[in-house]
Amino acid sequence: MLNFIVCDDKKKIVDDVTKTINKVMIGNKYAYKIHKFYEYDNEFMKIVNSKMAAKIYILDIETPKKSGIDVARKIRTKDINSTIIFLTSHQELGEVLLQEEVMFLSFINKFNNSKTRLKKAIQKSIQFAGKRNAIRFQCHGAVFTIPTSDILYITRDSVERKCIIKTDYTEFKLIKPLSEMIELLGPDFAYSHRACIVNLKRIHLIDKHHRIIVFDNGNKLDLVSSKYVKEMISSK
Amino acid sequence: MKICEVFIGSLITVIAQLYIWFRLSNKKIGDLSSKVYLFLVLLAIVMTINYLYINKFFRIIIIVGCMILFVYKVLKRPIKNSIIMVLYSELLAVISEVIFISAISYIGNYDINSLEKYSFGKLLTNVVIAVLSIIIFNIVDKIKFLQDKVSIISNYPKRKLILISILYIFIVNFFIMQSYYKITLGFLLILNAFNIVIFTFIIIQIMNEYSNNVAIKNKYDILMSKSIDYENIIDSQRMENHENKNDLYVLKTMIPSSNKEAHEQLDLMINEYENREIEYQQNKDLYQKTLRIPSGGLRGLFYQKLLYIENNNIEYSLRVSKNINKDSLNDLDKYERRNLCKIIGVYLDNAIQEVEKIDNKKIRIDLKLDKKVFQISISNSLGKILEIEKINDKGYSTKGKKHGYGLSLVNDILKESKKITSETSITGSIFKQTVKIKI
Repeated sequence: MLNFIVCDDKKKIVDDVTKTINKVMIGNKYAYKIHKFYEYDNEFMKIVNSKMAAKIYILDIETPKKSGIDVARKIRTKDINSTIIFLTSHQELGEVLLQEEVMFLSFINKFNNSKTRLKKAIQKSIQFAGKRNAIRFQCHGAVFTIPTSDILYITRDSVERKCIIKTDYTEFKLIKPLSEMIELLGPDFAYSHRACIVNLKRIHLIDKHHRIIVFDNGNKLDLVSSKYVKEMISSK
Repeated sequence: MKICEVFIGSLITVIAQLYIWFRLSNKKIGDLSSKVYLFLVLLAIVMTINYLYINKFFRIIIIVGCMILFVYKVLKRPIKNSIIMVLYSELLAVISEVIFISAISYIGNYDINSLEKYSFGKLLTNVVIAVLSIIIFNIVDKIKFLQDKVSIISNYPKRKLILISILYIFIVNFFIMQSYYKITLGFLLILNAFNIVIFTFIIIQIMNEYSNNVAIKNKYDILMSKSIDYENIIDSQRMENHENKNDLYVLKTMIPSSNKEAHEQLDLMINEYENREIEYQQNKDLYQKTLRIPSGGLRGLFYQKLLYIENNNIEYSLRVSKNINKDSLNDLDKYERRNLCKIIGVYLDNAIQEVEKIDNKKIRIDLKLDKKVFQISISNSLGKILEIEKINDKGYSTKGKKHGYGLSLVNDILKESKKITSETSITGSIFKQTVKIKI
């Protein structure tokens, strides 16, 4: 079941959002429930802390008592897979890096074509609901949260004795075994070699003859073992 | 016959080394292509020629060079890894040789040179050494302490590693020459002088590391005292400027209009103050943004750094929560406040230096006060390869030579402090350091 959690200090906005959700959900098969709040109070935080499945938050960026961004950060400390949509009264020009840090889906201006944009955001969030959208783990006192869609592959370098997570933007090197990493990742990941795990969603093609994988961003990987090729192709 | 024996011995040695390189690269011997087999045989031929015809003083250097080239070009490993892998396998071969010769000489009471005079004596020696290398490799592979040492070496910058490797090969070559071949006294003196120079160089490098560490500590001590002065200067200069200008206007009205020279002089002075006001106006936004940041060094520090950020086209945002004002940290003692400024100074410098090198130049600063915990977060976009467990190690840096001491300084401060803690998190491509202060 999908759980929509809506919070805005203005009742009209909450009602409008509820109507939009109902319109979107009529057309699909999922059961859903809408939880309405007018402030980020204790009742709201109870929902955040609860182990409810498939949460989709639609939050006001600022209420009289609290900042929606701070609330979103608190949500992320508990739950990295729920979807967050912000409602705002003005363009958030100053919120540099916020999207990547809090991993929200979008900002929606309440007064500028909000219904259409909200509808699209809700439709998109339904696709992500219940899936493992990011992995979180600790290594040497630092907390890593990496969206799974950003990961191309994870390999092990025996010279440096490290696990290397290769993403679109950075390589993370950490001392963790591959077996621990595969447990964190969902069914979208599989071994291509005993020393390499690949993101099947990011594979563009598998060259069985030369044993090379080409990813959708052009990166290539030659850590491919004939033992794992069939499994990869069938999983893909 | 001898050529065949040497060739087969070389082939066995190369196969043993290949096993070690493949294990280090996570590949199986069965994964070899025909091209690799061909180059393997070629390498064995080069080793044979090297042994039989090349001057003994250059043998080791030539064969190590050929092996590095083989691993780099044929096995397609990065150059840094190629150097480490070959030196590692060669070191194992040297250790195996020493063990074998010691066993032969002291336990078996044989002379190694006599052994090699027998048919296939040389081949037997090579086989034993190859097998011993593989055994020692497998033992070392299980010992974590030694595994860590290999990974430390791999963190060295490429150029430094190449230089150290060249020195290492020369030293080993000279020591081995002294053991196996008769060398004249004069040449021996030259070799030892060379070794003394290298060791002196190493000692100087160690002392250099220490002084870099001391320099960074001094830098942030000075930064702290300058930040406090800067806060006072920003505030008082604005007020002074405005008052001085007003005084000059009053003076102008008191001087008769016939005194044109005096009026011209006064106009020049007023103009100067007005130009300064324009400059203050340009920084007015920044001044307003930092107004509520607690004073005592922190506000001055942020002002300086944000001024630099603005002037260097780095996109940034600063959020100071509504319940913070300039007195929010008054309960923190002077010593802890100084430490806080040092930590924030290091984190800001690191964030700035990191984004300056990449296209995506973004920094975010948040100040929050929540239930007696004052929190400062500094986030920046990531560009480089990040080795998280090395971040607090002295000398580790993604910024190059003479860097890497700031975060180790922070680490030392945090160990001593009872009120300040720090957390590191990476979310996607954002690196964030959060400092929490109990007040």
